Amino acid sequence: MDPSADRLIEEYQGRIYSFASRMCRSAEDARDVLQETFLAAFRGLQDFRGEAKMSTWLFRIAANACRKMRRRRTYEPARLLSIEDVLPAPGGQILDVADAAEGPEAATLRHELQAALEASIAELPPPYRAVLILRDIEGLSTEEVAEVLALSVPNVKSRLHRARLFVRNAMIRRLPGPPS
Amino acid sequence: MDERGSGGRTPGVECRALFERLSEFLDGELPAGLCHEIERHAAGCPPCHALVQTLRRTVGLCRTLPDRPLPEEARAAVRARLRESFLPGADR
Repeated sequence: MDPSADRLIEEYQGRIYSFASRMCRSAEDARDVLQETFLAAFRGLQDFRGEAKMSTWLFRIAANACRKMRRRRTYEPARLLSIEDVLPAPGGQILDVADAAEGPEAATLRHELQAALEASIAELPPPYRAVLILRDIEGLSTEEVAEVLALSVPNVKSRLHRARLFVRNAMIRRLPGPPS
Repeated sequence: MDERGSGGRTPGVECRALFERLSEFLDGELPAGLCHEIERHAAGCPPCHALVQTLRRTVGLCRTLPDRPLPEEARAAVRARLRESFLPGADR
């Protein structure tokens, strides 16, 4: 394979697979999305003018591939989050890894928090999941997320806020309460 | 948030403003004056204080979540698919 193509794959395949895996919630579909993304990218590479970042362009292709995959597989409705879905659940707390002593205790807590977070994100309806993953996990700017998902900036901000509140509530449901 | 969830009464105006702007507050996208108002309100309103803390931790956890590991089989499959599409017969 051409060395520059090889470098491109090497640099981005981890992030694209990770994004697809969280979006599709299936390792098999994530593998297919990864292939479709690089196939479409190399076919359209001459159209890439460098106005967008390479990562933004690849995420846009991957997000479209995830949407197509969702339509092909078990249909997951793109429901809207109601205000009841995101109103703060009363009480509850989310421990910080820094609250635990160093060593095995902190490692166990970190693992539990990450597992609860992954499960909470997986519960989000896909349009909100995509925004949260791109903005808060992949670290894209609000403007880049808007470009990837073909949304307005205010729409990205609104979806992100609802997604965060939903995940926060889901985390509190999953995690044990404060010690009494 | 002092009135939210207590017998169906309307949330206080300050609580609602904080609830609506909290992500922008955490992302540092609000003017300094409004940030100060939110901080002042949260300092005196335990439910809002808890909401700010738990949402901040949720976002912080997202930002440190590691990538899902890329299986070796998926890594090999993407290269095989590209070779097959762009260099047919190269593997033969």
